[in-house]
Amino acid sequence: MLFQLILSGLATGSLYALTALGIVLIFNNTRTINIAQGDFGMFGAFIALMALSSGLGFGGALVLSIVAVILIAVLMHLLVMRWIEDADWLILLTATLGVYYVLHGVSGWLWGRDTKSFPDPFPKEPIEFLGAMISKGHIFVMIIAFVIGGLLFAFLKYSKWGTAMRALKEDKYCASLMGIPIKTIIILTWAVGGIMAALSGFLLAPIIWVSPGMMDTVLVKGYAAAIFGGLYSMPGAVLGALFIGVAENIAGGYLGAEYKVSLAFVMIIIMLAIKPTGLFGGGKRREV
Amino acid sequence: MLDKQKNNNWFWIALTALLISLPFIIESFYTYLLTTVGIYVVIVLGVNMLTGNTGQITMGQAGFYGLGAYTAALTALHFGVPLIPGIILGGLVGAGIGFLVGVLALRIVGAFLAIATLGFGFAVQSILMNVPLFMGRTGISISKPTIFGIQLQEIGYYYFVLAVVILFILLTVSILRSGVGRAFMAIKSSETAAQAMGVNLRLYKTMAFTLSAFYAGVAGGLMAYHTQYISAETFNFWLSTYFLVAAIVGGLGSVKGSVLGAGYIVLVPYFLADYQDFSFIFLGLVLILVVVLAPEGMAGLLKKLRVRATLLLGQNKKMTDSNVALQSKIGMSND
Repeated sequence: MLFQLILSGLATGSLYALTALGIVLIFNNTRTINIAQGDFGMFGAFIALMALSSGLGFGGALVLSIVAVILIAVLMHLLVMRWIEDADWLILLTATLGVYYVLHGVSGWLWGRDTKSFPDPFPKEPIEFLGAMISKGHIFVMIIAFVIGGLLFAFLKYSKWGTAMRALKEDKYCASLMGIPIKTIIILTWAVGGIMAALSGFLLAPIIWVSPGMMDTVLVKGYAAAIFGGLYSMPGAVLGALFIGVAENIAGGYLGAEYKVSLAFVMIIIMLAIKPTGLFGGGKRREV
Repeated sequence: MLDKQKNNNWFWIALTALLISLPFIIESFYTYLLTTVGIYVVIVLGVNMLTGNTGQITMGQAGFYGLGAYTAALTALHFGVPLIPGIILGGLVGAGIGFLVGVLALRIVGAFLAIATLGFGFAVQSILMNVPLFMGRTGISISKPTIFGIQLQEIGYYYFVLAVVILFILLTVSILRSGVGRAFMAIKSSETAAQAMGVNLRLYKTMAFTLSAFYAGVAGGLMAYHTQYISAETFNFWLSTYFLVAAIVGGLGSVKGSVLGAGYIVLVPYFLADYQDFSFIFLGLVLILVVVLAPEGMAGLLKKLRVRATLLLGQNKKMTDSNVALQSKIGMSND
């Protein structure tokens, strides 16, 4: 029982990790607490659902939804965030809240507020793994999430653009002196953040189904995971997400599913009380 | 300066006189709506003090609001506690929980606080939904409020809320004008600088957080008696963001802004109730426009308008451009 809960917890946790990675990436490079991160994924899931119902395959729907979300994220940067780049973080957060409202309203207007089912791209039949039963879909999801996470790490670590993104995180001004095209890199940041959101929306859709509010609690869990890692650390965010996935599944199994969201909050508070800088501490020096 | 003060006082006196006479002029339904606005004014004043004056943020204010509402409703239901003690209890419960959350969450920089309060809002709602005491989606009905044994009708309750609102406006203004208020503003402009000047960061940040939770709790109690029915579904993430939106669109750091913002956030969704999606789009677009183009909100726009008018009429020669610039820089919070 416990092992089974841990396994399926890791599956949902790996999906939270995708949201958390997008959050940390955007926060690192733009100081933005992006409230709309979840709704990027929600919008993508609706686009995918439309594509599917018009006869496109899962691959085509996924590509379409990723392209659409990249477009939304980059547009959000160009139309809104670019103009307030140097403002207080509070102003940045508020602007993303405005985008969250708009995305919510537009999706409700286009597709309605009721919850829609989303076909499962993966086989459902359970298989036995070390004595626990787990659905094949969960295993697929986990593998995909880890491959995506691995690709993101490889991109940031080894590619030229990825290195430039990390340089931006260290020191924006210094990076610009090194000849790094700051503006392009920030657009790239939003695009990659969008890809993460689209993927997490697409992979979560068969599990939590599609509605304008589908990603609200996922957003909270993604942020809880990000805080767990100190908001600056990507490996920390992934670990946090997996931990939350497992913890809430165990709590859900023994206490009842209703308390899953409360658990995310309790984890934030415990983490902040014990180690305010997160698991991989340090963080950034505070600016005066 | 003195003239401006006088002007301002006239503004408030005229507004109060208008609000006192309104129930005799408008339909009773609008009296009900205005009472709702008044209750929102109380909570937005608290949010604005925290966000606009202290530079902290809360995205879970609906949690404190809900705690206040349930405290007032449950004490009335089970122990027959009347209106005034009920809402004070609501405020105290909100403040107590706010203090606990604040002590833990305020150890760290602002961005974390936003997330901690976001999580708090969700957690409170799920507890209200699921712990049997709170009766979840079924909700709780309570009878009409009584004050010294007299039952208040709709108009009576309107006047009661109006009195509470005036009390809270006066309270807020006097807090902001005191040393505490100046400490809040110092924290907002730079935490490091404030600390260097000897402002006890943890004390004042916790105080601002607790105060805003107290305001929210009182407003929750008022709302429970206003609607005479509460259910856990009301106290969701949207409501929390509404309070924040009201403070920002109304005008951060301005008492007048809180009043305007509360009116905005009650009336816009009300008049667009049949077009909920457009109401979201409208609120979102306005929020983005305000943040990008007019960060001082409606209160700031009004101030600019008045300055233009005075300059145009040439009535007040002392009110020069540099004077105005200076004032907006200091962030005169008492208007």
